[in-house]
Amino acid sequence: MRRGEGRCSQFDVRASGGREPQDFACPKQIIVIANAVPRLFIPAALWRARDAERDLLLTTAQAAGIILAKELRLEFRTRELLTATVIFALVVVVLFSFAFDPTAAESRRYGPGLLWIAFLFAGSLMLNPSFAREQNNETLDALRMAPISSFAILLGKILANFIFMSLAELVLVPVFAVLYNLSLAGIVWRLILVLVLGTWGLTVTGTVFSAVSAHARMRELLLPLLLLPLLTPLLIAAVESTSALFAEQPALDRTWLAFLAGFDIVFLTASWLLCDHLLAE
Amino acid sequence: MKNFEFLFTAWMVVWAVFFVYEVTVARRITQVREEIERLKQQLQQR
Amino acid sequence: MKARFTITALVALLIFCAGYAALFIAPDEATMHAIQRIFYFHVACWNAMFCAFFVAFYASVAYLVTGKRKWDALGVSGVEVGVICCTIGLVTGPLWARPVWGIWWTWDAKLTSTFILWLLFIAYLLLRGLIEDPEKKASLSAIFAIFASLDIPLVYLANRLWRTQHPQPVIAGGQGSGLDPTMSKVLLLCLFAVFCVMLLVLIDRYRLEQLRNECAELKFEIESQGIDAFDGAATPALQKGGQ
Repeated sequence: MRRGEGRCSQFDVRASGGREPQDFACPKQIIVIANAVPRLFIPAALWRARDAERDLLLTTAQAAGIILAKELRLEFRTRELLTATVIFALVVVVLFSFAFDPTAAESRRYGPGLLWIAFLFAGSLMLNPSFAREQNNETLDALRMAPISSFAILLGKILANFIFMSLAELVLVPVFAVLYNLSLAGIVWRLILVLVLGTWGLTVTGTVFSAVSAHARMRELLLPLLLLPLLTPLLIAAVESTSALFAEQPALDRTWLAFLAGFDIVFLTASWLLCDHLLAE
Repeated sequence: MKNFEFLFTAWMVVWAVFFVYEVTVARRITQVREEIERLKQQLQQR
Repeated sequence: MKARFTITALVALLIFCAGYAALFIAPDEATMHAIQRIFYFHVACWNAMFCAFFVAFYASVAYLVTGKRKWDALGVSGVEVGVICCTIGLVTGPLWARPVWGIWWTWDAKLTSTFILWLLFIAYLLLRGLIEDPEKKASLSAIFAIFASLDIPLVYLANRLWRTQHPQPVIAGGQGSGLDPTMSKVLLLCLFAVFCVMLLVLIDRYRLEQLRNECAELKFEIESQGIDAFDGAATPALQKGGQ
C-alpha cells in the first residue's frame, strides 16, 4: 500500500496537467474509503498473511484499489467531470420534455426510456477522458511500466467510472422523478438494483472502448459510435425493468434483471480476457 | 407477373452490389500492385 | 491466373443456374406469388453475412493469439464483405416488405437487430480508418470485432424478448412452417451460390489487404533506408562497413 501511495501521487500531478499536489482540497474521507477498497476484495485470512506472500498473491486487487484511489483523487480535485455529466444529463432530460406531453401517464410510458438514454449519452461522453486523459501526458506508459497486471489498471478505472456514474445518477434520478411526476416511494431499493446492474454494464464496456478510442482521431465522436450500438441490449433490458418498476403495480422483472446480469458478466469476462491486448504497448 | 418491378429491383440490387464491390476491389488491387512495382524500382535504384 | 478465371467462370455459371431455378423452377407461392422469389436471395445473403462475420470473429481471435498480420487482413476482409451482404439484405428486405406487408420498414425484432448489427460493423470500419498506428489498428479493431460478435446473440435475444411482450406487427413473410421440397432444393442451391460469390469476393479483398501490407512494408523500408543514407552521409566509413 505504502509503495503504491508514492506511485499514484506522482501520476496525479502529471495527469491533471502538472498541477501541484497542494492546491487541491480532496475530502479526507474519500481517500480513506478509496484506500480501504482493496480490503473488500481480499479475504481477511489472506490479508493477515505475510507481506511478501501477499505482494505476490494480491497484486491485482491491491493495484486496482490504488488506481481507483488515484482516479478518485484526480476527479475530486476539480469535480469538473461529474458536474459536466450531471448538467449534460439534465439538459437531455429537459429537452425530452418537448418531445412529448409530460403528463403522468405519458411519463410512465416514456420516462424509463428517456432516463436511460440520458444516462447512456452522458456516460458515453463522461467515459471518454478516462483513458484520453492518460494519453495526453503519456501517463499510461508509466502505469504500464508499473509491476501490476493490466486488468488491475482497467478494473481500477472501471470502478472509478462506476462510482462517478452512480453519483451522477444519485442526483439525477430524484430530479427526474420530480420533473416528470413519478413516485419513487416503495421502489427505491429495487430501482437501485436495476441502476447498479445497468450502470455496471455501461461502465465496463464504456471504459474498454474509451481505451480503444483513445488511440484514434476524433475520439470524442468515435466513442459514442462504438459504444451506443453495442449497448442496445443493455438499453432494452434496463428500460424494460425500469418500466416494470414505474408501472401502476411496481414489480421486479426477473427475466430482464437476469439479462442485465448476463450482459455484465459476458462483457466483464471479455474485458478480463482481452485487457492485455487492450493496454499493450 | 404481379409486383414484378420489386422482384426485378431486388434481383438487380443483389448482383449489382456484389459486382460493383468486386470491381472496386479489383481496381484497388491493380493500383496497389503498381505502387509496389514503383517502390521496388525505387529500392533497386538506390 | 488461369485457375482464377476458371473459378470465376464456374461461379458465374452457378449464379446463372441459381437464378434460373429461383425464377422459373421454384413453385409459385400461394399468397405472395412472384414477389416471394426474392426469398431465395434474401435468405442466402443473410447466410453469407453470418459466415463472413464468423470468419471475421475467428480471424480476430486468431490475430490476438498469434499476432500474425494475415489474420488481421482476414478479419477486416470478413467484416467488409459481411457489411456488403448485410447491406444487400437490408435493401432487398424492404423491397419484399413493401408489396407484401404494405410498409417499407417495421421495427420488428429481426429487422431491428440486423440494423444494429450493420451499425456495429460500420463502426468497426470507421474505427480502422481513424487509427494511424498499424499495430494498434489491428489489435484494437480485433478487440472491437470480438466485443461486437459477443454482442450479436445478446442483441437478437433482447429484441426477441422485448418484441414478444408487445403485440406482434403483421408478418406474413415467414416461410416458417414446412417448405415445399422443390423450394428447399432451390433454396439450397441459392444458398450455395451466394456463399460462393461471398467467398470469391472475400478472397479478393484478403489479397488486397495483404498487398497493402506489403506496400506499407516497402514504404517503411525505403524510409528507413533514407534515414540510413542520411546517417551514412555524416559518417561515410560506417556506411561502407554496414554494406
